[in-house]
Amino acid sequence: MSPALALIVGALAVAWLAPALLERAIGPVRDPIAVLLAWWGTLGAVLLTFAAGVTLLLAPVDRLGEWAEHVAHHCWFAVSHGQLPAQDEVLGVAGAVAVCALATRSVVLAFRQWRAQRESRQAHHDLVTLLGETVTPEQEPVLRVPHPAPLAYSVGGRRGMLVVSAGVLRLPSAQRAAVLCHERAHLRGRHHLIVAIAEVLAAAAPWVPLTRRAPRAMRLLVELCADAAAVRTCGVPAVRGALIALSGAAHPAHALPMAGADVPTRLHRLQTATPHQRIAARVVLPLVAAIAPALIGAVTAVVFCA
Amino acid sequence: MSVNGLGELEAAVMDVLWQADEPLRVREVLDRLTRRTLAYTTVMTVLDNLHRKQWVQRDKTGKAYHYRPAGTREELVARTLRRMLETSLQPDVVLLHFARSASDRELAVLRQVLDERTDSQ
Repeated sequence: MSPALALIVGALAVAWLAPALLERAIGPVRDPIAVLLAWWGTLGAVLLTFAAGVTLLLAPVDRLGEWAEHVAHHCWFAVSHGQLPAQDEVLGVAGAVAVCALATRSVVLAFRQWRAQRESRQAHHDLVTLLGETVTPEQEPVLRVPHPAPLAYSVGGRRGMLVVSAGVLRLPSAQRAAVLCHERAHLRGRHHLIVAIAEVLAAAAPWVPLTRRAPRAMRLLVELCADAAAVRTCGVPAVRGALIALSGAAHPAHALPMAGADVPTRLHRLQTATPHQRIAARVVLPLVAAIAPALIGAVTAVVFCA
Repeated sequence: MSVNGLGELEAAVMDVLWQADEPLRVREVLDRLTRRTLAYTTVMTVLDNLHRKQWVQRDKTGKAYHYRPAGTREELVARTLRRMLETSLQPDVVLLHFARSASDRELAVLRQVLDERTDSQ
């Protein structure tokens, strides 16, 4: 087995096997940021390893000119003799087409999502202009929705915004502070962008488990990150109370609502322990995730060659 | 100017137009904006933006445009909410959420609107 093929096998193996492991990591690994980094490490590594494998398949010689000549010669040979070129090249071209198709699809979908989010953001800012009510003296504009049901979410972007209903403002002051703190953590951590990129990748390659399952996991992880931030300033009881008060509240699609993902999991997490931060996990986990595709590729190559 | 400075200016201009009994020219809007000293061109740009957003309508009488609001504040809010709903990936889900959380009075209003629509068809 050629090293190029081994890399592709490694990337595909991780793309299929990693999601289950990463989803399970949320339990034992207390730090949501470490798991979040591991997801991105895996996504990046799988894409890079696959692309590297495809490139190697097509370019076994290191000089590009020679390689182009080689390919041209091969194609001519194949056409004139009615034969297929070598197996590696067929696979390589198929892989390259797949990579290009995926990249194009991602760009188109990213553009579409960006346009929809811009429209939604503009509508929110228009509402602030029309209703003109801000409740906190912080930097971000706060849109106060005159509705008794508790509702809270944040809209990302360069000019991020918090949206809270009159129902939230009527909560006890500690819980209200927890809600605002939680949503502000989303804006500060660029969580909308993180979830949006994962969603674009999932829409571009829904048949790959790694990309398909990423958005849901990331939504939960950014909520855990924001919960942890809120706990640090407002304490566990306030965050728990806010979560319970807001569960089931409505929200637009591109927003990150307070009680958006997996409320039971998050309540459980709040109950068990205060998350202590360990830098080691934030380094080790993503590193393991990043080298996994290449490692599995190498092992596969050894097993098949031996 | 603050982060939402443009929005504040737009709100001030809309307030002027809502309070006026007749369509206003740029100069008249500028004169009625009491809160600060603004350039004529600034007000013109703001009115232009508002026209593009379809918050104001304008008619050309003689050389100048006359501006008037394209609806009450409530109508513009409703239209903006409609836009937010349309950008949402699952408008029906959001709509259902709102309907379920509506108060009895709100539901009565909704029923009345639905009846009016059925009658007019």
